[in-house]
Amino acid sequence: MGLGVYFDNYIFVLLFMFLGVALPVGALTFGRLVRPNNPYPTKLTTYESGIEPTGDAQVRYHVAYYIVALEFVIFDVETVFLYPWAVALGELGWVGLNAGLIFIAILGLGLAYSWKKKVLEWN
Amino acid sequence: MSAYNANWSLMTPEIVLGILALVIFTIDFMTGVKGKKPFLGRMSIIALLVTAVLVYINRGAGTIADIFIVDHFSTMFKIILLVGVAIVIAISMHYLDKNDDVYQGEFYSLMLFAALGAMLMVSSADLITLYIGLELLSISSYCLAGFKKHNRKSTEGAIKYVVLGGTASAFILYGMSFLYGLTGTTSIIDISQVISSLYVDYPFIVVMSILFMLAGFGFKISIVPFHMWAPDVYEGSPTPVTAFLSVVSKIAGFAIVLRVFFTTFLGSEGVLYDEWTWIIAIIATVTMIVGNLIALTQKNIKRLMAYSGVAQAGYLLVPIAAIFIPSYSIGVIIFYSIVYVFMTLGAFAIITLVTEDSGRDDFSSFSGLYKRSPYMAIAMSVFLLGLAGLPLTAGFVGKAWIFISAAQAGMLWLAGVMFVTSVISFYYYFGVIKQMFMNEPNPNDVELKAPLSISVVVTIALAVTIILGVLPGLMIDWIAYIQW
Amino acid sequence: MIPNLLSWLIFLPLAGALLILTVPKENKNVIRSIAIGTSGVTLIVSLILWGAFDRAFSGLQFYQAAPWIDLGLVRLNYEIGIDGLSLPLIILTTIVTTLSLFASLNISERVKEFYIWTLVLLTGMLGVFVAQDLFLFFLFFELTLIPMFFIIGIWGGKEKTYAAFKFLVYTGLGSAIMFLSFLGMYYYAFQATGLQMLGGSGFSIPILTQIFAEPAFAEVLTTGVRGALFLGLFVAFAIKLPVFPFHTWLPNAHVEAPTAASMILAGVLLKMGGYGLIRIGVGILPDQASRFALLIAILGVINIIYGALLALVQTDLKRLVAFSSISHMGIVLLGIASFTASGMQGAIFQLVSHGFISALLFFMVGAIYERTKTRTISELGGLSKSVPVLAGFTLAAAMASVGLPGLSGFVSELLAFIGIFGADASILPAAKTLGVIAGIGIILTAAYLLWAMQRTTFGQLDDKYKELSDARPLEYVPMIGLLGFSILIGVYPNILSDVINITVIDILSRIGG
Repeated sequence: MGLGVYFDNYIFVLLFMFLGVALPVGALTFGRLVRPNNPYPTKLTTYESGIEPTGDAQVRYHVAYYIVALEFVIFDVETVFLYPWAVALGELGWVGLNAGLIFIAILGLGLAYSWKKKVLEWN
Repeated sequence: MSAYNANWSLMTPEIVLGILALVIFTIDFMTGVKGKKPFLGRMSIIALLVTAVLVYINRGAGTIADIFIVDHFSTMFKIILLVGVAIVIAISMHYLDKNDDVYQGEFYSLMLFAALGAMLMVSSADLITLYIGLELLSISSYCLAGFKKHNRKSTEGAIKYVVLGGTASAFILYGMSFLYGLTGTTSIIDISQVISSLYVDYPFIVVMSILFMLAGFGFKISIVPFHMWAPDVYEGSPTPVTAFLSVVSKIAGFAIVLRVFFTTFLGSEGVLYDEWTWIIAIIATVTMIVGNLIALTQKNIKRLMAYSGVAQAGYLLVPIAAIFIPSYSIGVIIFYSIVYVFMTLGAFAIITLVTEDSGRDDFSSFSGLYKRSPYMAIAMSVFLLGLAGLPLTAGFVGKAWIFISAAQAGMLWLAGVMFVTSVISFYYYFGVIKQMFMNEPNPNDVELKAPLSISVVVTIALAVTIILGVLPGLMIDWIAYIQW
Repeated sequence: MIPNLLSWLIFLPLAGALLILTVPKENKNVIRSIAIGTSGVTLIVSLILWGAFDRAFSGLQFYQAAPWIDLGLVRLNYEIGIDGLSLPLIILTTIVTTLSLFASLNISERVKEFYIWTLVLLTGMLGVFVAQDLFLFFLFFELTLIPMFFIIGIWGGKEKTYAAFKFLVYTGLGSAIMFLSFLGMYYYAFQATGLQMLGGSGFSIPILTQIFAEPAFAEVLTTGVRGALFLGLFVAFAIKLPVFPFHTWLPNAHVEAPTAASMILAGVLLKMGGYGLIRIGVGILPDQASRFALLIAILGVINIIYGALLALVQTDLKRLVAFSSISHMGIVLLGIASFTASGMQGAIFQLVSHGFISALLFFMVGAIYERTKTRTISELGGLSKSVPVLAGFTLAAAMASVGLPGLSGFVSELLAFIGIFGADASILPAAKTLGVIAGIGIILTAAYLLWAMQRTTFGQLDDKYKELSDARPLEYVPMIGLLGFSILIGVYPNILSDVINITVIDILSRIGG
């Protein structure tokens, strides 16, 4: 098997990339061709759940958002690990149980830490 | 062998350090968020030294499920790294004593986690383990670099470090993915067995993998052209963190470069060696030239140490490029690493002392140091002379060994570049010495009293630098005795 | 006989330096006495060596070897020994250093550091002259760099920082080229013989001499390789000697250094270049040395003429002496390039003789400067009226430098010229032409020195110099000592030549056909 064959496998990737670009572009172009075009100022304003936009798009979020988001991600990902672990626990045996418990314990320490540092309080 | 019946006791030092780090971490947040906590520093040093002893007791050979390997190479590097981190923490204790606006306990636990990451890295026999260790080390380092969060430069440095470090990690992963794609395994040992035949079929992909991984690791060890982050991060970080980055990060990076290149990329009977020896030789040349030349223009001691560190990384690349017998090159690198750790940390201990005293980190803070503290001035001179490679210091022997090993491999020109750039380095190292001995102290700088932790560190580093300079046999025999 | 006498010689000064380290810096006189005492003991040891030296034996004497660093594939040895080439220079080193310590008694700032550095410097210089292992040689060579940097940089004149860094960078580059040549010698010897023969000691000068002399290895040690190695060594030592065009560090360093350091710089440090060239360049690669004889001789002549011409136009007395050193070192090159016994002897004589004379000249300039606070020739004048003793010694030193018969300069120049006019035309073509041109240089030497003397010691005495004090008792020690040795060698050259002779014959015998 030479280098040519190796690169041949990338044809699917290229095809995927091509389709990924072509489909939305094609659909939007098609829509533009067939739909009526009648713009007026109210129609051109930004639409968000029926509420009129106020202020600038570039606002600074409170830093607490990020920390809460981080906490969320950590425990979100934890679930990803814990589901398969819980399902396969019977096969994993004691070693598996211990490994999982250590994992949970470390996360628990992290939670205690953020609790102590008042990350969970919203001021 | 599966993970169930593996000999997990091989991992004892790592597990112990991990538990101790968590204990220190817990004690920290249980005892309140702010305030000075020197006892945690002492505990951290004890934890590191205990781990180092465990590493030594646990030496020998063995692997866990082909993902974790304990051999003389990893034992050696782990001891170097642990002692290095312990010294960094001793320096930090003085720093944190002077700066009580930063969180104290977290500093120590982050250092310990970083040390744990470095240990995992040098023991990894698998690309995934390697990556996890690397990230544990890197992420802890990012936090440490930005530790003075109200300081603009510290924050700037940390952001640069995160963004560029993330990019470097991506490069490493991309290079690893090539190897995985070719071989279907992430085990370094398995890869090394098939890489020679794969190289025949896919030379391009193998070389690309080498280059991507070299770029990524090159960032960690700050070699040109991946060194751009170093001066800013070094300048902005708290000085002990700068010491940590220039010693622990760098040596761990070198250990892993050695592991990957000497195990995987040497190929059977070194067929792959010809492919990258030139690349490394050229990078080493450029690194030595750029590092030493830019260092000439620096006015800030931490930036100077950054560029000097770049140059030193170039010196350490020389034995990797010029291999006569691989195990011999490893011996050369280990000796120079030991020497480098002590000289650099000794210098950083004094830099911390002086810059924290004066509040400035340009050269002028060193003016007339010989009058303010003769011992510190002499010690600093010895460390700088050692980094420059002048006789009766360990740096001289270390460099001489690199020269000789390069000559044995027939790369005289590389030794030539190294020597000439070393002479250039005389200029800036002696520039600092000139500040200390030939300039008068600033009028408001009075006698400098060193705290115990700094004095101890400086004395140990000074003793090692001089003893290994006069009787290097003590260490060389020990290294040579080790079977690789 | 005392065992390990050479090791005692090298490390005594270092021990003295450590001893001074323990003395509080306020006790200046204690420090001075320890320094002079240590250096005096070293001088005595070197005189014992002089007495015990076997003048009929051409090999290394007082030889001592011990493994030092075992690097697995190569061992670096502590290997020392002396022969007729090293011994005169060792005596020169101990004498000039001891006398320069007397000259430095007027230093009153940071006395402790000064004497520590001087003693470390003494160890380095002696080490260079006894080392028989290239690595050890290099170590001591580099070791002289650090103390000299500090001495010039701390106790020097107005431009001391510039001079110190220039000295550092030039000498550093010289040692870079030197060490690379050493590495090259090791590498090719290693290639030629494999691990076994060199496994013991890859940098040993006696072993390398044998390997490079062995015709069986000609396949690896080709003429090209040997030529490149020799040129590398030549450039390295040329920087130290110094040879045009690598000489520009010398005037700065010599002029800015304090008197004692100038004496050591001119008296001993320059000699390390000449010594290295003969010991390693000519000693290990004699065929290449003779191949490049013409180049060496031409550079020697350029040195003589160029140094003399520049000395002629100097307005600063110390710079004049510095340039005269460059001129005089040309004679060393000329003597070596002749590849005759007398030429080689002349070169070694010149090394020793110039060591005493230039040290004396620098001392005199320093003594005059201390009193008049000027070194500008045009501002001086008529000193023989106010300070007759100093003026007299200055004149005597200048005469010795010119090469007046009865003084050492004459002997060395005579021998070198006998050598150059008797040179083998197959080795050194156009020897006679070069000799004649060099002769013009000697006339120029007479011109600039006599002219300078006429303008400083004679002529109109400026009023402000009328009240100068003449030589102090302690100043007589270096003056009489240095002039005495110059006269001794000038009147009775055999005292030196019977030590040098057999070594010179041994070195020349290596050139063979």
